[in-house]
Amino acid sequence: MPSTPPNPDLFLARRAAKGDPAAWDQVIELYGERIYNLALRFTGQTAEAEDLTQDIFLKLYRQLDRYRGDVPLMAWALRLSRNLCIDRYRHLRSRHFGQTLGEETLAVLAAEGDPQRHYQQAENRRLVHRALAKMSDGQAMVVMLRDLQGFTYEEMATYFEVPIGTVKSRLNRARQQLVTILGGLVDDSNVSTSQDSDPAQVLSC
Amino acid sequence: MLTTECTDFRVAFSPQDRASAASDHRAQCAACDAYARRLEDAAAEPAKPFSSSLKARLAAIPQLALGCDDIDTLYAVTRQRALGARPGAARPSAVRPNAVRPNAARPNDTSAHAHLLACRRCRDLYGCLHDAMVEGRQALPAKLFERLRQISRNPPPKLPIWVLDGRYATAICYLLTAVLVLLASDASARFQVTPEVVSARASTWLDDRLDDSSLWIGGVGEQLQQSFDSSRVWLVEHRDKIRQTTDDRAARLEDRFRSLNLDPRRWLDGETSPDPQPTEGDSDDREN
Repeated sequence: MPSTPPNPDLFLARRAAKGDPAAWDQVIELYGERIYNLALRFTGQTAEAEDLTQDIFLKLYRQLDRYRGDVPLMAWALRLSRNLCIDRYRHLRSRHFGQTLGEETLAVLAAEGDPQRHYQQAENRRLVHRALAKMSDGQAMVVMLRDLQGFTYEEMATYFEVPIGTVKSRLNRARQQLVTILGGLVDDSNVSTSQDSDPAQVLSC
Repeated sequence: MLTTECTDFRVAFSPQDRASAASDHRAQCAACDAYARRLEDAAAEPAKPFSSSLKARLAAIPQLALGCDDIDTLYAVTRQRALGARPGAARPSAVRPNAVRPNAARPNDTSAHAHLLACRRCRDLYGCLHDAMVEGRQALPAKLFERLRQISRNPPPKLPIWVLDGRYATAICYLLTAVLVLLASDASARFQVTPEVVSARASTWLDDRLDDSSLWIGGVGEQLQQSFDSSRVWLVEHRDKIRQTTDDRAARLEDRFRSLNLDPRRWLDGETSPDPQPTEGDSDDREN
């Protein structure tokens, strides 16, 4: 009689919740870097991202015994982190979101490759984050998770606790708003890259 | 300027299974291409590595969480008592499940009481929290704040499980009984005393004491030999001076006898004579 295959995520969560240090270390190894980078997207600062990551993992540890294995552990952990991320995002984005990220990005990218291309990337990144800061929290998060963080629709549905169709419609609206805001920012800063330096090419669609 | 008027705007963000359609549209539409490129650039930020310090902080979370759980458990009892004590307030069992946190809403939670009995730190903390609830103020009084401040933030190490859980007491009693029976059955052979055993132990004890005494005597003899050698060296070095001093003293003594009209040889041979009359010189010498 075939037995039901064990859910590895559930097994790992059970072991970690019972205080197994090896299991907890495995949770950190599996999800730590991704959650840290997600926190870095939301905060834009290394120190803030580390604090946010610690808060997320603290909440995760305290809630691990409630995990039922119906969704992947990563998606479940991300759902737990949602409120923490939103709170931190609201707190930080009005202050210094964008500047520090751009500086850090420039520092990372300055070491290799074409400097002009790296500058262009950094400038685009700064523009996108400035545009995200002008959007509502929900729409900014949808774009951030999908287009910047690479979440799947399923993960986003788990994250927001809504159906996948709702995620898609929210994403479409958010992208349209981002386009509008981004266009205004480009006009304001008069940024012209080598690819879209031709006005006719930019205006025509 | 970027625009949202593009009718195929959504095509530029088609998922992976329709990537060719997205690339075709981006090749034709500069606005959508520029927008998509900006998002790609923003998403192309390299993943930051996980710092070791952050990993250490995360690995230490179980200890932190235990402290938080203690406080949560503690706070549940405090809240229950406060809800039950305040007139007009809802009883804990009547509180809607979603109105308070799950730990606080759980009635008849005896684990908190068991923890309070075992953990002094949490007991102190509970006392402070309970007093604070009784005070019924928004701000914590300074005295209570000082008490809370003095309570360690770090929970003490966990007590052994058999101290906390009485279920293990029976098993421990059985184990101790078994050990005692085993010891008693082996006691006669292990602690048997015979004349041969006493003689052997006494012999061993005496041998040990003799060895110690020999060593002590040898040490003392060596010290005496060293002292004697050093004294002989000193005497040889100062022999001439001692001899000279002795001759001088003898000469002075002989002169003294002669000044008293006495024969020193007769005194030395034991022949005595009537005491001479004291003279003026004699009194002067005594004074000197």
